[in-house]
Amino acid sequence: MKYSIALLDTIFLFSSLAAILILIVRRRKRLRYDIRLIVSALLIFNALYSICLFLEWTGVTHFLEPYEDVIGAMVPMMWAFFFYAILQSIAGSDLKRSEDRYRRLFEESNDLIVIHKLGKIIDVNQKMCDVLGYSKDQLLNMSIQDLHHRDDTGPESIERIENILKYSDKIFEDSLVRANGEMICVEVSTSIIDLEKGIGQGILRDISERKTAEEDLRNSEKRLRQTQKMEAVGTLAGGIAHDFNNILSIIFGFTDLALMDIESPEKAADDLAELKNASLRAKELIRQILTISRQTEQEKQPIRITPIVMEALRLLRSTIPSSIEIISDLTSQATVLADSTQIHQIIMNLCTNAYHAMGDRGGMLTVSVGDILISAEDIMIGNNIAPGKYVRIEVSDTGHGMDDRTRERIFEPYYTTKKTGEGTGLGLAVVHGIVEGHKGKINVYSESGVGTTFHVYIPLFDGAPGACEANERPRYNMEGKERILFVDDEENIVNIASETLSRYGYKVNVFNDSTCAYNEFQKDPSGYDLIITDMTMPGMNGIELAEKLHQIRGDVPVILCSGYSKLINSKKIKDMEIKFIAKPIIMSDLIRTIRLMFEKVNYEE
Amino acid sequence: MFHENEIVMLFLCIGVLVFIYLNRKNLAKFKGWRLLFTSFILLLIACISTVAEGFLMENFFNYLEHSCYAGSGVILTIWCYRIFQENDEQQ
Repeated sequence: MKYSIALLDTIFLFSSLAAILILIVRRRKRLRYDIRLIVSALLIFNALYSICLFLEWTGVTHFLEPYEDVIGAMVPMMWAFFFYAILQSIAGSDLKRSEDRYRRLFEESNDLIVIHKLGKIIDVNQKMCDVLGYSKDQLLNMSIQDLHHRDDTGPESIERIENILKYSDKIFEDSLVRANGEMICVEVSTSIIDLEKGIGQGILRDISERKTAEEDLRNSEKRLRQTQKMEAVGTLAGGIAHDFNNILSIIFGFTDLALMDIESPEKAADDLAELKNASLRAKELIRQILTISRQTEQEKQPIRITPIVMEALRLLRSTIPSSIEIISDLTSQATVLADSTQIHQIIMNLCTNAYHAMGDRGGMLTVSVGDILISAEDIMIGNNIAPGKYVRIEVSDTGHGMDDRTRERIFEPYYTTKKTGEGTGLGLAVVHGIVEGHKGKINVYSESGVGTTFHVYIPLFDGAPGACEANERPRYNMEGKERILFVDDEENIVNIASETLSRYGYKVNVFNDSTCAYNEFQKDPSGYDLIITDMTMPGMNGIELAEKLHQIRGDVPVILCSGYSKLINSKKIKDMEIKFIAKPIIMSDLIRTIRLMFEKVNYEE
Repeated sequence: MFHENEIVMLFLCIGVLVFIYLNRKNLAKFKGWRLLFTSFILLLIACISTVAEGFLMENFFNYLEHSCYAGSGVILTIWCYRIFQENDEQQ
């Protein structure tokens, strides 16, 4: 028994010595210094204690005997230190791992990361250097303001910078300047790192490509809408031509009658009145076609939908066969925020679709416009529209209808069930896009063999209709004595204008050539109170003439007349402070405009 | 009976055991933790045996005490050997 205990103590002693030997031999191997030190101490105390145990068994008095209690107590103490050191080591390696992870995330991130102190850059990742084209050292000597365009000092820019500096956890878009001067669009998200020290972080994502793609998409949509509008005009071309021929027949007919009745002034006056009515119809028809084919998209403004629908239905009536009965129920007087051209396009597309669905066999096309309140209960029963007040446009037909499969796909671009030449499948896709653009909804109900109904919901606008729906025109004294310079390359128009304006008392000087008119004005700039000019003329066009005349005398009022010109837009006219009249010129309208201008000038004087 | 230093050692070991219990999750992350823990538990058993041999089964607990000291030492040596061997492999 005693020998075996002695053997065990010997094993204890030698194992401790062996461990010390391992520590000495492998001293260059990686192990935290404090752990190595504590393990060494633990092994030494183990060895000493094992010697004590061994000698205690032999009964020999030895030099360690007075210290045996201390050595014994030091063994568990060393274990305690050992475990404490292990904990420190683990905490340290956790921290290091965390730092490594963060550093890797920071450096290898696909986003641009900047850390700043009160706007001064204190750290950036490699991606930021790569994208902006600066070296890290250069960026560390810059502030966030330096990354913006030096002219970009407007209120928006200052607000953006403040957003970054105030650490308000915001996401916003910004533009930065690369080292080579190029601009890039970025989406910035800011956050606080240390509020007291003023340290914040910004994560920036380069969205230049996304922006370009969005712009391309917008342009594609615009082109798609324009293509579809042209397609609609094409579809309606036959009907329009028919309507025009009717109007021309009336004009020819009453002109002949007026010539025959020239000896009887009363009859001739009646004939001429009919001729004028027919001309007004032609003017209205041209205006409608131009409305459909307008290339520029107008800004949304408060409008009433009912007049637009009425106008569209008038055009449709003359273009679709009489075998199709059009029933309208237009009760809404509400205002919506919309683009009138696009609303027109919605009606035209839906009604043209209805016409195609019914075909030559005819049927009933019902169009109604009414106000509707969508409540939360309506949503519960499956209506997918947000609660609120809407104007609802309903277009229904008694055509062949659609099966479920077709109905699911009708808003897909280029999806069509029509024959070649009847449609390209863009109409309903465009309608869907327009309705979405107006924050509205479109629903379709259809049954094969029965018909189809479209419901378009446009949110109501809480405000008054725009100035386009002006009230009754004020009355003015039509006569005047002012001096007018009239320019138009069409001789007949010049003659009519000269004759009519003279009859109202104006002193008119007319020209067929804009350059001659300019030379005349140059001779006596104060000799004219008003310039009336056509837009499209050989040599100098109306805008150019107006600009040149304004260079000579800036306060001379100008009225510009044009049938259709891409050069003219409302902004340009507003900038040049000139008045625009659409051709064909109705003389009574022209004279009213002239008086309106003079009254305004006199009032301002 | 028993010596005072044996009681002191036992209480110190129990204190260390409580420390291990409170930090068991973090300590378990350390390489070769099971060997270290076994070595320490054998030391604890040795301390308990030292105290117990004063009351009953003197020979058995005495034998157990020395066996546990020897086992604790051997296992700690194995830990030392392995921890450096792993370092070697890592390098």
